[in-house]
Amino acid sequence: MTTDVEQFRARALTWLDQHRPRRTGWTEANWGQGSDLVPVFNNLPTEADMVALIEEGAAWQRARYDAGFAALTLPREKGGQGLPIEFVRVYNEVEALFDVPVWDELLEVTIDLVAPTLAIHGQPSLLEQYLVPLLRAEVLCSQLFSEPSAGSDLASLSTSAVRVDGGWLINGQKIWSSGAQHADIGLLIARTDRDAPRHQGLTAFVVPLSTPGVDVRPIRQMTGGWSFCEVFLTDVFVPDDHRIGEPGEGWTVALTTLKFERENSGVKGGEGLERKYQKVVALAQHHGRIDDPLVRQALGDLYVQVRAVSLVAQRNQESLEGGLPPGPEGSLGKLMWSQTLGQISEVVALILGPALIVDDGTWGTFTWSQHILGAPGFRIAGGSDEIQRTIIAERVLGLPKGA
Amino acid sequence: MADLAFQTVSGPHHPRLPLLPSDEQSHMREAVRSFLAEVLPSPSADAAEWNRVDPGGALWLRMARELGLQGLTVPEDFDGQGFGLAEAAIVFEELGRSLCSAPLLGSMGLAGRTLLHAGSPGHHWLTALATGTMRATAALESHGTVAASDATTPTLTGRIVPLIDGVGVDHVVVAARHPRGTGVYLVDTSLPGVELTPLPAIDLTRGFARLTLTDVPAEELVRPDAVAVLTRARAECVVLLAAESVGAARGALESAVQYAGTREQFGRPIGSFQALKHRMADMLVSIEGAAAIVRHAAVLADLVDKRDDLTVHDLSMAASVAKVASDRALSFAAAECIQIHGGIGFTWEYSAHLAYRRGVSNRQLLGSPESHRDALVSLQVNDRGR
Repeated sequence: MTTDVEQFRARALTWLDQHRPRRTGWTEANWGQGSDLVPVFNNLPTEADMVALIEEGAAWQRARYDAGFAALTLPREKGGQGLPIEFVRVYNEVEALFDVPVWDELLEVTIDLVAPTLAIHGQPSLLEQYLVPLLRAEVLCSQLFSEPSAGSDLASLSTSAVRVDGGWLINGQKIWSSGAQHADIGLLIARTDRDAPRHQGLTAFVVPLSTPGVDVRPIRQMTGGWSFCEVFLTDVFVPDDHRIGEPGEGWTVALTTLKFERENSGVKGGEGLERKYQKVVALAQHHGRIDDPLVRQALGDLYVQVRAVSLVAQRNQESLEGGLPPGPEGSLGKLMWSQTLGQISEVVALILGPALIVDDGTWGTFTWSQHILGAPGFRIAGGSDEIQRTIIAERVLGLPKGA
Repeated sequence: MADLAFQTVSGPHHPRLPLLPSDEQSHMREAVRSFLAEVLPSPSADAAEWNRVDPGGALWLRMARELGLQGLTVPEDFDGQGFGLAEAAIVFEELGRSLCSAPLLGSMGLAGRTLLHAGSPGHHWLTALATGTMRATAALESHGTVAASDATTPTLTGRIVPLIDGVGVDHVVVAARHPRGTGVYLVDTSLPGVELTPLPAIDLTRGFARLTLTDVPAEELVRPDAVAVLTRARAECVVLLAAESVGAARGALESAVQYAGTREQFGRPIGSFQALKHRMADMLVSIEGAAAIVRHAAVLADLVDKRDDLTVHDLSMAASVAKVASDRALSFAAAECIQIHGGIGFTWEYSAHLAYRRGVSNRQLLGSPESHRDALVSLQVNDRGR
């Protein structure tokens, strides 16, 4: 097995070397070169830029998939490579050495959250139609989960799906659907039985967003960008073969996606944060702030926090590789990660001072405003900090449920 | 090939080291935990000092005989068990969890690691240390202690406060300045010119002393320059101290969870209120972060001699990270543990203050978190281009 992994690592390295340049980092030595973007949510000046960014990421995913370096853990009959989970880690370790296209949340949702959810719960005909296209990022999918009145309390959602001849008629409103304006389909949870207990009256569907009656309206967020949308559904017909799982199993499907979401931010957060930390150190050096005792205290503290995220993520990963079931420990990672984003903002503000608040065109400086304005969003997205704490308290510590 | 992922072009590299314990390590944890549960049923402030827990020294010898804790990291050639820091850190977590006042940080840690790294002149002492017959600690910073060597035997003069785990020791390993650098010496505390005075301390579960040396003849272990030996031993002891703090923090959290799950107010367990739940979740977050960090540092410490891509520099970084994370985890968990217990948590009889005291004290030992944060930046910024 070890040999297999090492052969795989060598193969990945060779392939990546053929397709991408090595990552050069962002240090004091190469200050001012290349992109200085450090956003939490991608926010480019024009819609065309955003489309191009997503397409570049999607093309990269197709290349990876076609070369056998994506969907590693999915069974072969479902379009994956049928490999143990440690291969995912090994591939990510190798890819981290390379300069790869900027990743967008919509790609993450499509490939890391929706595709594996579908692989677990979808009927064969649905998998046939969508799974490989999703894995190749040919079809992009947004989550249609939250509603104006159902945020943290997702199970109270009220968008309805009513049985009609050959399918379902959907009515309601979804919100905070990341990237829906660029998506082809949506993974939607709707209420199909108003009389059942609230967790049991839900059903999951794949909804093509081109269907008449679907109205996707981007929402501008506090960063100035348009990362997510509200989606209005008026008499939207969805054929019954687009139902995921049985009627009434929607909550299970939603929990699967949410679990992948927690794990995803919990497991892969570390490496990105280590890189961002290096940028903050370079920033302090470039601005002549590295000898300031307050800055040093803050940097030292940030480093400790970043290492905590990395090592807790690594430990979770080791548990997964050891065959231990993924548990609510993912909430730890998600919470630590969102807290670290906030801490990065604090340290950057300490380093830059007034240079942070206006854009005088200096490379690598005002760009941090996108980090500072974006970080609060991830304390909310994917299950708020408070929801994660409740999960940790009840499922890890075993504290009694609240009233 | 195995370390491919870490040949990053910039920044400190982080070889991936295994963090989950082996079965043997897990069994060791269980063995230490049940031993401590038996001999220290529940810590009380009035009997927290080791000299009261173990007035005749029988328990200390039993600990050496049954678990071999004193010799855990002593090589087998010197009657030790030959384990590494990874195992020692697990033991220290358990010692911290039960707030055991046995002077193992001084014995296994400070004295043991320094003697080990000091090389052959001091190695014969390791056997006595491993069997528990020698009670020793070390002062890894010279505190102005000087060594004079006009004759064949150097003599030491100085004053060391606080000497960690110094109460009742028969030997102290002392770092002292001499004209050409810093040396490491071994002092027999029964000699004339030695004053060893127990001191009142905030931490009721650790013995601190003042060591005063006036022209005391000492055995020279390392010379001329012992900085490398001291740096490594200190970093390793920081990891052990951090492990102890993580264990104490875990103990505080366990106690808070247990209490909050049973204590009822307003007709329901107080642990069902979100204000308390979320605080305990935050305690766990900081503890799990610190635990993963400590584990990583301990595993790294054992690999410094075995892998070309790991150095004492990496160990120093990992140790400083561990000290900062563990100090925070313990001071937070211990304070919140008192708060969650309400009035009972503030009483002398209840043990919650013992962990709080340990946290206040540990924070100042082997470098404050402030000094370690600063050191981290120095280690990284000077590290560029390595």
